[in-house]
Amino acid sequence: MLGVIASAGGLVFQPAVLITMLLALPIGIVIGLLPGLSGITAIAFLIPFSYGMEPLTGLAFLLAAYAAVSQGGSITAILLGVPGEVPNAATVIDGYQLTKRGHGGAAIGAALMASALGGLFGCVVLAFLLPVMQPVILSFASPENFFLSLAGVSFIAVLGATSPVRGLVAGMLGIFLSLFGYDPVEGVPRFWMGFEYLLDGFRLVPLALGLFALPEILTLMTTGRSIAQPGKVEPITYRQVAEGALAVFKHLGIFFRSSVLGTLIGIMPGVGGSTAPFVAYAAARQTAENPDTFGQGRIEGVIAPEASSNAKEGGALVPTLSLGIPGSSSMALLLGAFLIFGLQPGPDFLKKHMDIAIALAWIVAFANVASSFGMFLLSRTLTYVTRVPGRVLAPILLAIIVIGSYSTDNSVADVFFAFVFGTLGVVMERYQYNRAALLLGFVLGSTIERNYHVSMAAYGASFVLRPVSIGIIAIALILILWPNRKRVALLWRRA
Amino acid sequence: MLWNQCSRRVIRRGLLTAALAGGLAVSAYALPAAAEDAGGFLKGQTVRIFVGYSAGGGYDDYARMLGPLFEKKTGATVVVENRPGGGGLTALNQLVREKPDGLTMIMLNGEAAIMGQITNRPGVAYDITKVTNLGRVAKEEHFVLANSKVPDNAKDLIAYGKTKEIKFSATSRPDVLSDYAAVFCETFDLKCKIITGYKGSKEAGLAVMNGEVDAIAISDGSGNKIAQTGKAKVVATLSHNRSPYKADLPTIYDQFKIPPEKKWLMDFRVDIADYGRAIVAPPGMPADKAKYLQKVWKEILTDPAVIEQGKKTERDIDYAPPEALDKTSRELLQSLPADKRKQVDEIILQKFS
Amino acid sequence: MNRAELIFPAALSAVVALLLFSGYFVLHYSFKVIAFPLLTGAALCALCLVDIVMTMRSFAAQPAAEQAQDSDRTFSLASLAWALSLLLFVYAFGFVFGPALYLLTYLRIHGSSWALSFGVAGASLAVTWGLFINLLRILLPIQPLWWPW
Repeated sequence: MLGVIASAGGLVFQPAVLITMLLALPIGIVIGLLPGLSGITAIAFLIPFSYGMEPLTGLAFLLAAYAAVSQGGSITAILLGVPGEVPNAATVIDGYQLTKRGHGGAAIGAALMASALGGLFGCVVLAFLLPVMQPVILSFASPENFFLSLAGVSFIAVLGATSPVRGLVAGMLGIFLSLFGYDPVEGVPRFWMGFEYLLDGFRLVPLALGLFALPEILTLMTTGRSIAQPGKVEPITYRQVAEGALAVFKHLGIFFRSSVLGTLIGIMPGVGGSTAPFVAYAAARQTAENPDTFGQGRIEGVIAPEASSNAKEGGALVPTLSLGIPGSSSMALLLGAFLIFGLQPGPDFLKKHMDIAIALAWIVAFANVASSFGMFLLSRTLTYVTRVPGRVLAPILLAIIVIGSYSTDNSVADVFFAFVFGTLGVVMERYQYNRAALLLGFVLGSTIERNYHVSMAAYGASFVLRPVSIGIIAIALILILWPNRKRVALLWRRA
Repeated sequence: MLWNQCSRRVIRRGLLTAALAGGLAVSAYALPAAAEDAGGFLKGQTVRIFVGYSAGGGYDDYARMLGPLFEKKTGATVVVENRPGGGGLTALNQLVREKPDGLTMIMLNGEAAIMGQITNRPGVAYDITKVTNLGRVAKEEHFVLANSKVPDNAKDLIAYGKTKEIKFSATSRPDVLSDYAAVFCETFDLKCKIITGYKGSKEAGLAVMNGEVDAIAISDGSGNKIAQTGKAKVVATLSHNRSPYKADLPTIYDQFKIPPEKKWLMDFRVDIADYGRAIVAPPGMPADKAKYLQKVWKEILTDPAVIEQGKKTERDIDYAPPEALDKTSRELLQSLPADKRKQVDEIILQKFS
Repeated sequence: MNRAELIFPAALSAVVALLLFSGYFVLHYSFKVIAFPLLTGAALCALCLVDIVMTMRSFAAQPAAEQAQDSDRTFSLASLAWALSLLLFVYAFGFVFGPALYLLTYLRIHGSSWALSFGVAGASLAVTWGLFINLLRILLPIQPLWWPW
């Protein structure tokens, strides 16, 4: 096994491959910094450029850009409160608060280090598990997906830091909003009211952008102040970023837990990787001291989602390579790229090209580390953005949001809805309804309905008794009750 | 350094660079595009190819593979525009509203388009019999696959299904998976349950592999990938021709004598597959422009080198001329009597749920 | 402040109830189709009710206390108007010139120098035209949205 890993490494660390990857990184970083453009955009844009390349070089090119995009998205989440991609929304919760207190540099450092190491973790796991993954993936069917997404929703209550009830309202609203459009059972479009756009319901990117970006932009416009308001004007130094990076090592427990969660969720094809950062955040909160200070700028609140969202990409390669089933939507695009290079992921692929599969793990690992380093170099310049006066920054951000929301699906309606959800976000911000909870509910809502329906249709009501399902329920209950474990133990003893 | 000093310099430098980049980009755009094939009204224009799905799917791949070839032949710049929604049909709605000036086309899911119109799917705002067909790109045969929970050959499976329920997976009604499953079950009078709700055809395929359902009716390319995992076997080919992926398996027509009162249904659904993936332009295009585009696409899609490239990347090309597409869509939509149309609705949309 | 906080949950439950009602009685969705929205909507309305009750209780307990307003969370109507006006600019001038003109106007009116305003507007043109349209081949509509072409 180690021999294969070593020879795969030899394939990767060649000048042609490395140089191509380094070329892709800046493109990925730029795309990542523009809200509304995602990893998928980067891959789609770069695929034509990769036509002439050797398979491994071409894939390295695409994967490197993809890894860099998520780094860029983390930065905008921390510095501007705008998630670059949906998974970054969990980073906004504490990351943006840190920026407002003038600790943006540290937050970035923590995010970059957590991403780099989390990505490495995912790849190591990937490399070792790849030969044996098929039976594991096949034991996760619709009932397991149902309970996983239900568990994800239950974390919504956890996210509602200051007011659990309002957190639940937000989450439930998110679920309700996800039900517009084609229903998964009969294909009847619900509540489309004759508008073609609403046949598919509300879209995720305008929702996420509008919900998070518009309130911040309006605040900037109203106050005219800059985002960061430290007590005194501090010079921004690489030192702050480095200190943030080292903070990851002070919280190794949280890092490993989050990476494991991310990798696991990435491996399971049914759940959807965008829940990984939220679950990791919630788990970190539950197991930390003083959980109530989460949401006000705790560095662990940045480490957890960042580590897990990069780990999940390594995890997502597992079903993609071993079964040809994409573990995430960007993996779906990558599958197309594989075919262009004449490679065909699936069980056959692993038998014939295990070295290439592991080489891909190397590439993702390297791309994570390299793009983190690249962002590290840029971090000081980028942090200056938080010192720009609001009256200059706000209109620029607004223009970027408008252009970004159009670009996702070439749709003007998306821009309109970004503003609609922006208004909702403003109201929710004002009255302390947790926006991340709404986003999580939205992401999970239709998954819950689908998987419930399929589980009932395929197994009948006994689907709840499957062993893996019971395991998931047990773990979720433990996580939820953990902060109150002493109280629970007392109750148990009295009973 | 304080904000004022450093950042002003940074901003000025940044803006200068941005202006320079913008200027370079604009001037690059203004230079004439190189054209190998001179002539044609498209030279130097921007042509858009709509794709009704997000980046990364089969239709997107085809469009991005064929776009550069079209560019070379016509001197135009091709942009692939992903416009997902409505099961791939919103893009068609949008296409038929565009001007028929040859600058907009769609890489169309023909089967979905015809089926959508026949079943009066909510939101359908096109008439497939009126569009300007430019040529078929590809066509797929369809398989039925079954896993080890049920018999693995057609004869025994059909006998099994007369008394015991066979579960099929699908994403929704209608879609390719549920259509073919419903037609298969209806033709042979089987007890079936079509379980909808899977997110996509890959997830539906996974359900067969892990035993959640017993069978799936799916395109041959995807079906072949499932069969390669060893978790399911190809049981039948629901087409008039054998599939290249399983040339030793006779078609369902050759294996069984289907009674005429059922045959029309199988024929109907199988004939829709003849439309396949097609390049289509808005209705009402002037004859000379349409002829030019049809000629260009014919040259591209019958070029042996292109077909070879397609084979290598699992994007097979199977050209059919526009006249064949016209014939298919008109026959299917206009020749079906009202009572049969009602039956189609019932079987495709409701039966076996 | 007391009343204002109750508007959101109250309005939300009203809208949700209206949607569900019209779904079942007006649009005639079958039970299978409306089941999950019904479940979710009912839970949402119940939670809103709980929210309303708890809010009223907390104000009853401290009627005179000034609810500490987070000074960051201020939104003026003027800023909302300015934000929405970008939509008007885009509608009137398209996705390339609309944002550029908006930036120019906004920055100038809010006190930035001509140099900065033109610079930022120019950068916007470079990004929309150069980066998005030409490099990324994302065809932002250049023509105004009301243009019937």
